[in-house]
Amino acid sequence: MFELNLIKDKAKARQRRRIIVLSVISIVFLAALCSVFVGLMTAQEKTRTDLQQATAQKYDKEFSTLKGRLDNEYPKAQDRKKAMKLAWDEDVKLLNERVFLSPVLTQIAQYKPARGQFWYSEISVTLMSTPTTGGAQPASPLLANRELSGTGVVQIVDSDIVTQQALEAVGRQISENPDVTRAVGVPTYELTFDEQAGGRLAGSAGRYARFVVRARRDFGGGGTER
Amino acid sequence: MATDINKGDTNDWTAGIIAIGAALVLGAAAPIGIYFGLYMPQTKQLEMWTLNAQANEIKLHAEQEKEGRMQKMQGESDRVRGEIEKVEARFSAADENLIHQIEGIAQRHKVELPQDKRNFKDVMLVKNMESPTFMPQKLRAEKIYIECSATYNDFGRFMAELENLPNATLIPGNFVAAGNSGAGKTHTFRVEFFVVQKRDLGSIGINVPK
Repeated sequence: MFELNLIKDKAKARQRRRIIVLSVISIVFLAALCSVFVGLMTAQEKTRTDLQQATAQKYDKEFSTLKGRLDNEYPKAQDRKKAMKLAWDEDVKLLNERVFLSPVLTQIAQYKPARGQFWYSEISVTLMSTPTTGGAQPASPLLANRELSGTGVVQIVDSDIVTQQALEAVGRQISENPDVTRAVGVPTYELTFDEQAGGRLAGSAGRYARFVVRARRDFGGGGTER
Repeated sequence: MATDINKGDTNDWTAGIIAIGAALVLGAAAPIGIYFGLYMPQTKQLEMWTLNAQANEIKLHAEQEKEGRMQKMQGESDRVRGEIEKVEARFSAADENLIHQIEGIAQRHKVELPQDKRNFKDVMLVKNMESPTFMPQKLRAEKIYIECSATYNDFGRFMAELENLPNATLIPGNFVAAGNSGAGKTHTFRVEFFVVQKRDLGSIGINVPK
């Protein structure tokens, strides 16, 4: 009886050991499994970190390269655009505001007093180098103000006053052409009653008197005329 | 005797339970240690680099937008340059070709240029190289000087044609028309012209003074 119990006890003890060993092995296995799982997650994070680091460094490098290039080129592009625009504006302004003398010559030749002889002795157009009162002088002689001056002789058929009025009418007729006023301004005619120029011409009726014509174009506010 | 045997059973279980507990503690320590020791710092690093990458990407995008604006500006500049080229097709140099052209026009309109000064290399047409005229944006013009004799009407036609040349822009400067005693209807004319020149479009905007 005692021997039988002893055998039973040994079997129980063996079973207990088996249970304990199996339990420990299971726990260690599960722990290892968890460790492997966490390790894999860590490795995955490491890969993602490396990837993000590489991306960040790539962006940083691209940024540095691009910034270096743009710091050099962007101001130049701005300057070029601004300069192109100014050059274009200048060309357009020049072509729009350039002066033509041929309309002035045409108009001067076209109009004269209705009665009596009339001719010009000299006509000149002078570039004005100094600014005129009330108008801003452009920086270039290409668009500078111009002054017309001329002298001539007119036959006084009726009276001095009538002749003066006829000359003023000539000035008005000439200034009706906008090309003339744009080029030299509004011409004004004036009898001078110069004794030396006056007097009678041989074989002709009436007196002759000198006249002067003057016009000045004041360039201001885009080319307004006086 | 039976009590001893039972006591031995209890001791076995106690040791076993302790072993199991130790296994549990040690086994849990490994993944927990890996988690806190490796995984957590890694996530912090990932977060840091993610933020870093985002910040860099934003900076890069800003620069790329700037580059886009620059390319747009360059495109606009090129377009304006094309327009300037079209406008300045009417500009030319005061060169020998232009002088010959002027002489041809004078001949056609019976405008007489002085015989002894007709050659361009002499002084009939003084090409004033010493004082080129600059507009504020470096638009240049050269001055030429014409002295001639003609009737008023012929000279008027001559002037009109010069001022409307398709291949050159001549802007009159000082002008004098004087009667010529003893020459009948012929007068003496002296006129200077500014010949507007083409720009060097490639140099526009380069080395602009600040």
